[in-house]
Amino acid sequence: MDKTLAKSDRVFVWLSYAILILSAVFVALPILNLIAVSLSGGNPVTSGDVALWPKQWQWGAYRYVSHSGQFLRSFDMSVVITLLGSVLGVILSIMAAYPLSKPGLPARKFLTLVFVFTMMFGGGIVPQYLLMSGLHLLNTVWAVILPSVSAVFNLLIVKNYFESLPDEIEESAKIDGASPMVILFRIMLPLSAPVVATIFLFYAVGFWNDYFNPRLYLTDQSLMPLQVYLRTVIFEAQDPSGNFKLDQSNLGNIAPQSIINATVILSMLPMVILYPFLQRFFLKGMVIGSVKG
Amino acid sequence: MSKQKRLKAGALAVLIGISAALGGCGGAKEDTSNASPSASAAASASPADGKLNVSLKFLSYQDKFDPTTDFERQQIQDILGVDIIPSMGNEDDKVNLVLSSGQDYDMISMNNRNLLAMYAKNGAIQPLNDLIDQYGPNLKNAFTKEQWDMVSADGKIYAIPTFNYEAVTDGLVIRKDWLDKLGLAVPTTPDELYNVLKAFKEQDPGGVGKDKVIPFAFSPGDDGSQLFISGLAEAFGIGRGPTDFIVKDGQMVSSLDQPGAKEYMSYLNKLNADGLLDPDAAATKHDRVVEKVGAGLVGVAALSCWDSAAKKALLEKHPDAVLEFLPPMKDASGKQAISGSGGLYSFVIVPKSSKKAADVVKYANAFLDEKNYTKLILGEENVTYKVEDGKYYPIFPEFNKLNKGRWFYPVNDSDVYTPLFGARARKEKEMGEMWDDINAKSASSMYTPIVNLAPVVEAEQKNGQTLRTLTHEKLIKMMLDAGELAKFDQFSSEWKQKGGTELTRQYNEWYQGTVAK
Repeated sequence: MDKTLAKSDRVFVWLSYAILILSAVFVALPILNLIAVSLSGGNPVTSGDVALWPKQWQWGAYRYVSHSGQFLRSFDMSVVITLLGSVLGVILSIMAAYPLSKPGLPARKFLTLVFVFTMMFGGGIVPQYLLMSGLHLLNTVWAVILPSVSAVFNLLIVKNYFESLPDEIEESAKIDGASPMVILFRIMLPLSAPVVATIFLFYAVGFWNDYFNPRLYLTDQSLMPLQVYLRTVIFEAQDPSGNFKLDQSNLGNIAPQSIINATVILSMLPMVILYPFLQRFFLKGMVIGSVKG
Repeated sequence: MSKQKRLKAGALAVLIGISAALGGCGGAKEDTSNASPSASAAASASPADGKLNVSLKFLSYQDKFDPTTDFERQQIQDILGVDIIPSMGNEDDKVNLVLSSGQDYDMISMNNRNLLAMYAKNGAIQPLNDLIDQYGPNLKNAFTKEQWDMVSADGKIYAIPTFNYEAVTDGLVIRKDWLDKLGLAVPTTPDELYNVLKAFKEQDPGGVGKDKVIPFAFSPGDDGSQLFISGLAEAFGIGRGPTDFIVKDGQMVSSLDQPGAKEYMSYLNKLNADGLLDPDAAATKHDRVVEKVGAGLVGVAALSCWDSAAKKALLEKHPDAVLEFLPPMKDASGKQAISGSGGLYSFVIVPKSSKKAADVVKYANAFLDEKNYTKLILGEENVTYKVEDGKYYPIFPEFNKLNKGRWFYPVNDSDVYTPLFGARARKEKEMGEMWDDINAKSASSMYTPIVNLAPVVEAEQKNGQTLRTLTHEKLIKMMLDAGELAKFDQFSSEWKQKGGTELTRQYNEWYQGTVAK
């Protein structure tokens, strides 16, 4: 701690630390309990004995959730949907945002309004489903990707960011003979790493956690993304006639709650891993474009 | 310039990737739709071996397994010659969309009877009467008129029903070791039960601490709980709870009109007032009851035979503990009653767009055929299951492959299914023990709640939810507060006013029209 601080300031800083640590503990405790339960044996979990450290250690719950081929298939599916959707989403957002950020675009206000309109009003489930059905996209990954691939909120973030970049950069590029595409991809884009990372993360989290679209548009089990699969795991674990208990010979005694917790942890793990890598952009990106320089 | 080229090449690659993926998926889809007509064309060619040789597109609930490679699918193919093309996800809104967009399913499994009536009215599904008359002798034998009525609308049959097994799964468990320690007999009436609970509280036979012991636990905190405790409530001359429907003197009536409804609530209130009820009862969900029983704190609890986890946890901590089901409590005249699991479980509809309605009926009919049925449900005797003393037991690990069989069943009849279901109930030692225990004690007093047999009447669609919410809130208050209990009659009239009277009238109208005849 900085020795030059006045005493009252030091008290304030210590107090802040104390409050922050306390809130961090409050956030961490339930997660620790979640992990402990997922790793504990059936009897201690059933009688509510597990707090923060696992009792009667077992890995069976994780093996149960992940042992089937379906887990890997669903995991692959989610990765494909997330990557493809996020990359396409980022490309589409940038391509739409760039022209909309140029004051010279004819009917610019109207076009922006057209985009914003879809933020507030949607067609509803039935027309969307009929559209997907009519396009023969049911039971394809596109049925999951296309509905969320052009998030207008993300588009506006990029648009505002582009507007905040100095016009002079572009002008000098024009003088050098660059076409609009070249300006976008070779001048603007390299300057936009923070905003790209930000909306990539928005898209990625959205696609990764998407449950509704797959549930609606997919009936082929081999296409089910992870979130849908994990729900079936939870349902099976809660099945009163104990369907999941069948494999007890190799799984051991596991409480349904352990399985549910293992499911939760496995589903959040990839995003938890992804966050630290993108977070430095993320923190910057959240306020990007909010103030026009 | 070279950079620009690379960029262009990259963009092109992305585009090709997209179109290839789009094209690939489109192609795959065409393949499946082409496959089914040719398969069905082959079907009519060779019916001689008794097999149907048909493929049916089947939509059922989402589950954790791969139906395309499942053993049951192979069995249905081998035994019946039916190739089931499985799809998953039959939530109500999804089925609505599937039907309204004319998807090419041949059969859809579902369990919302409100929707059945609506689909029938809108002509979204096919009536099956004539086909069942023509191709379904086994189906006709299996179900009574009353049972067909459950899947009918305007006098026409619109679905093939699957009835649940008939057995008792839920009842009251007691710590028999506590009882023995105090030298008390097994209670057989609510009053005897009260005395036992009182003794549990005062003498704490388990030594868990007088302030910690929970003489009686159940889970009124479950969402929408109507405070049903079957096996206890019936002893007050009502159904499973104060708002359950019962048949009295040839009429279907609400339990609220019986004096026992208020007596039952007074009983629960007394348990609470005397400290015999779980102090957290009002907010307690079933999981917590299991947990407390497992921790060895509870004397008597409303539990299911599927809650074997409670027994296992309990025995680990207290190896001398004995957890047993109580026989259903006797009413004033010495009669016992406890509700069973019977009733409609799900049903299969045939969308308007399917051209294979006859095949669906033939398939269901063949499924129920004596010579196929046991094998389809349990596989091969002494390979996947065995029979001992007339009871069915699974053989592991072979039985595992039948685990998800139920997903495929197009039809089921409780009379033949119930004994076979035992093999599932005995998948685990403790679970099997609890299943055998409760059914041995309750088999003779089991009944199927009348509402489980009734169709979904209009008043239920309109007011059912409101009435259940009202009941849930008020009854919990009555259980906890004597002042609220005094307002029982007020609650009763409010319930009737908010649609209860109309609901009772419509149920009774159905009852007079079918069962009573």
